[in-house]
Amino acid sequence: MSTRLSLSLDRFEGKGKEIAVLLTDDGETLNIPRSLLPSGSKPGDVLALSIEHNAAATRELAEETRRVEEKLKDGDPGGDIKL
Amino acid sequence: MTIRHRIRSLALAVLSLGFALTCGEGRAQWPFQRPSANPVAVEVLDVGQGDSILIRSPEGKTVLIDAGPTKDGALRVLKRMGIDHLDLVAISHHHSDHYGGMEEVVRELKPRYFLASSSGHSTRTYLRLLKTVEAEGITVVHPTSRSRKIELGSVELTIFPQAPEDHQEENNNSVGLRLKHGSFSMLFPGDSEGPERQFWLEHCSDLVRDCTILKLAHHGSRNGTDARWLGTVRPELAVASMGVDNEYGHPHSETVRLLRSERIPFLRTDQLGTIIIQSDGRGWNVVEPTLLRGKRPTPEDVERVAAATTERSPSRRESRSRTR
Repeated sequence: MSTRLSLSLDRFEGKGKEIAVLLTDDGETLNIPRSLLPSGSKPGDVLALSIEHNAAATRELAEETRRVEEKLKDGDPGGDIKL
Repeated sequence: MTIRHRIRSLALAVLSLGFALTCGEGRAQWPFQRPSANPVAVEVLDVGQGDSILIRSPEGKTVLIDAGPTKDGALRVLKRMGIDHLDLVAISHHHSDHYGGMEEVVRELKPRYFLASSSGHSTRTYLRLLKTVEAEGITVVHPTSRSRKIELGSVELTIFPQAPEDHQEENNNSVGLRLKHGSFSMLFPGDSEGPERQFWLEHCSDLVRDCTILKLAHHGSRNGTDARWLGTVRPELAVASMGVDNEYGHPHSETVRLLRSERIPFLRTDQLGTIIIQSDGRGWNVVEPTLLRGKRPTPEDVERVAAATTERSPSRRESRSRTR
């Protein structure tokens, strides 16, 4: 399952023009760091953005988080704490 | 009018402006003073659209609840305040507007304890934070099915019993905390929404009831406050942290209306900057909000507030007496 968006690069904003303001075809704005754009992108360019679900990475992240949390839990002294 | 009275009147007038901004009324409803000796101080830090709250006990114990949305924002604020150690840091829940700056705080200030739920909601950034906590050898504390107490000298923090994990809405996995110092208390409900607050009302209503000050859940969102909750907490003051002109519309108008109808004054970091509350365990007061410093109240403000407060009101607000 994936979504493909067509976006127009409207302008750059921010103190160092580091924020790219993208517009969907419906006129919604989407701000992303300029550094994520393909090099040479300039206002007026039409960009394509694909968003897809990465099931394997999701599973991996959840499992890794659970593993670290369980390990940290072992160190919990339990009961009340006196600082 | 003596110089001392004049200064006090000006100070109260400045605060009344903040109150007028938030509640649309003209009278200061709470006292406002310079820091008193040896108080517990709760500082709702101005970190933009997120939460970060610093607690300093009279004995010098320090706790940071959440670390705002940006990577180095909270650390920068803490350093500016001269904070060079933290005894405990807490993550109310696993959303980045609450833990975004915690990795830097942990790396730099190396707290002794790290408190967080073990909810399964994660991001790669959160996982990196956990790994940093692990690498630094910090002792981790979790909420459990029973309440737990953390003693900060004369100040006590109670961790609420953890509600069953909500796999759909991480806000409902918030860690609830109640601070107690004498008869003063403050409630930190994270971003909890209706289901988790309902759980607390059913399972630990004694921890929720009659708190002097309420940190609003979820930045004043409509899903962070309701009439039953307010009717149980019965706060004398509500505070919330949010960014200026944030795109989520926080605080929502429903919350502001509800607070207004209950006549609960409401202070916001987007309007006042960092909000500092202090208590000696009996009374409490708000220290001059940072963003109001240097603003000049009108003579009418001075007269109005002076007339309303200097003669008849006590100089400090006494907390309602409580047995807990």
